[in-house]
Amino acid sequence: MFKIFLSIIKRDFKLSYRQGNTNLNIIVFFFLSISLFPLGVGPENELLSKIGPGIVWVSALFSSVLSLDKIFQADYEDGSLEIINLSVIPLEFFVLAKALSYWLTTGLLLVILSPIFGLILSMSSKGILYLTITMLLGTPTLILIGTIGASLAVSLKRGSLLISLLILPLYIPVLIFGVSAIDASINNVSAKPQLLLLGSLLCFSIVLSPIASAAGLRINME
Amino acid sequence: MKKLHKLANPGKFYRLSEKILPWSNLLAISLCGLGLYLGLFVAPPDYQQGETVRIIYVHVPAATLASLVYAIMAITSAISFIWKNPLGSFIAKAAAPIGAAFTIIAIITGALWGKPTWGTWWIWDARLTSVLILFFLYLGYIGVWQIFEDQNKAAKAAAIIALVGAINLPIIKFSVDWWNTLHQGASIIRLDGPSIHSDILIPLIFMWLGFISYLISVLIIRIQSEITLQKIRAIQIMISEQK
Amino acid sequence: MNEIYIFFGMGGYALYVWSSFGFTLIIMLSLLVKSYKNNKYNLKTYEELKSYSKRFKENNVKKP
Repeated sequence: MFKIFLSIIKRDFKLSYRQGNTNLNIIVFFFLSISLFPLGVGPENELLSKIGPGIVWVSALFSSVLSLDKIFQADYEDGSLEIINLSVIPLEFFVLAKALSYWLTTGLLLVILSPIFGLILSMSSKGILYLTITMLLGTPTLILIGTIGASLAVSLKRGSLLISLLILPLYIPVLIFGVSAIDASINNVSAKPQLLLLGSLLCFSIVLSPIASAAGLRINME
Repeated sequence: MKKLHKLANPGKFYRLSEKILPWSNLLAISLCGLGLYLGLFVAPPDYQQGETVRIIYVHVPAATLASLVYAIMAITSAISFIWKNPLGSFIAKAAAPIGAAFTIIAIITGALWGKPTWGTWWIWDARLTSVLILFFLYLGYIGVWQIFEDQNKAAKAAAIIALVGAINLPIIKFSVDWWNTLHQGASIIRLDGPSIHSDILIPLIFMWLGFISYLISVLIIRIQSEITLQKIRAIQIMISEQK
Repeated sequence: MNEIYIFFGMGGYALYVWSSFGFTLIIMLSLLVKSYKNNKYNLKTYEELKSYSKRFKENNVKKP
C-alpha cells in the first residue's frame, strides 16, 4: 500500500517536473500579488511591516484557491482516477498522496520563498521566522481543504472556480491563526497557542479532508 | 425506528405535513403577536441600554435559529447521504434559504443594535465574523444545487458541503468564550441560570417559539414544493420515454 | 396622543428599533410569500403535466 502511495507521489513529481509551467505560474502569481500591495497602499515601511503578514497570507490563500481547482482534472479526464478507484488503494489515500505531492511541488516552494517576501515587506527578523513557521504549518492545511472543492468540481465544465470559492470560508480559521501568530511574535507575546491551533487544524484536515474529497470524487465517477 | 422509517417516505411526510401546517401557522402568528405585545408594551426599558434593548426580541431568535437551521441541514444531509434517503436532501435544500434569511436578519439587526450601544455598525469580532461566514456557507450551499444539472449529484455534493461547513457551528457557539471581544457572552442558556431579567426573558421565549413555528411552517411549504418538483421530474421523464 | 408619540419615539432610538423590526418583518414575510407562491406554481405545473400525460396515453392507445 505504501509502495503505491510512493509511486503516485513519484508520478506526480515527474508530471509536474515535465510540465513545469503551472507550478511556476503559481509562484509568479504569488510574487506579483504581493508586490502589488505596496503599490496599492503606499510604500511606507512601517505600514508594510504591520500589514505584511496579512498580505502574504491572503496571497497564499488566493493562489491556492486559483490553482487547486484543477488538481484532479487530468486524472479524471484520462481515466486514471477510475483505475485507482478500482484498485486496492482506497481513494482517500490517493487524495492524501495527491495533496502531499502538490504541497511538495508548490507549497514547499512558497514556504522556502516566504523569508524573501518578509524581507520585501520590511518585516522584523522575528516576524520573518514566524511567517515561515506558520506557512510551513498552514499551506498543507490550505491544500488539503482545497482538495474538497476540487473533488466536487472535477466533472464540471463551468463553475469549477465557483466551487473552489465555496471552500474559501473554510480557509478563514487558518488565515486568522496564521496572521495572529505572527502578530503575537512581533509584539513579543508567546505565539504558542496559535501555532498549536494551526497544528491541530493540520491534523484535523489530514484526517477529515481526504474522506470528504474521496466522497466527492466518487460522486463524480458514478 | 419503524415509525421513523415510514416518516422518511416523502408521500407519508406530505400527508402528515398537511395536518401540521395550519397549527404551526396559527402558533407562529399568535406566539409572535403575544411576544411582540409583551416585549413592546409590557416589558420596561433596560436600565443600561434603554429602549434599544427591544431589538433583542428579533435579534436573538433569528441568530439562534440561523445556526439551528444549519444544524438541521447538516443532520438531514448526513441522513440523505448515508441512507440514500431523498427526503433528507429535500429538507436540507428547503432549509437553506430560511437559514440564510435568519442569518441576514441577525446580522442587520445586530448592526442596528450595535450602532447605539457599541457606537459602531460592524466590528470584526469573532462572533460577528463567524456568523458572516455562516451566511456565505448558506449562499454557497444554495449555489451548489444550481451548478450541478444532475439533481442526484447535486444532492450529494451539497451534502458534502453542508457537512464540511458544519465545523463552523461550534466556532459560532464558542466564539464569545474563546475570544474575549465586544459581543456579550451567553446570557440565557447557562449553568447557573439565565442572567437576564424575567421581564425581558418571557417575551423573548414567546418570540423564540413563534420564530420556531414560523420556521416549521415555511420549511413544510418548501419541502412540499421540493416533493412536487420531484414528481414533476418523474412525470417529465415518463412522458419523454413514451414519445 | 402623547403616549403614542413616546411609544414610537423609543427613547430617541426609534430609527434603530423600528428599522430592525421592519427589516425582520419584510425578510420573513417575503420568504413566506415566495415559498408559498413557488409551492402553488409547482402544484399547478404538476396537475397540468398529469392531465397531459393522461391524455397522451389515451391518444396513444386509440391510434393503432
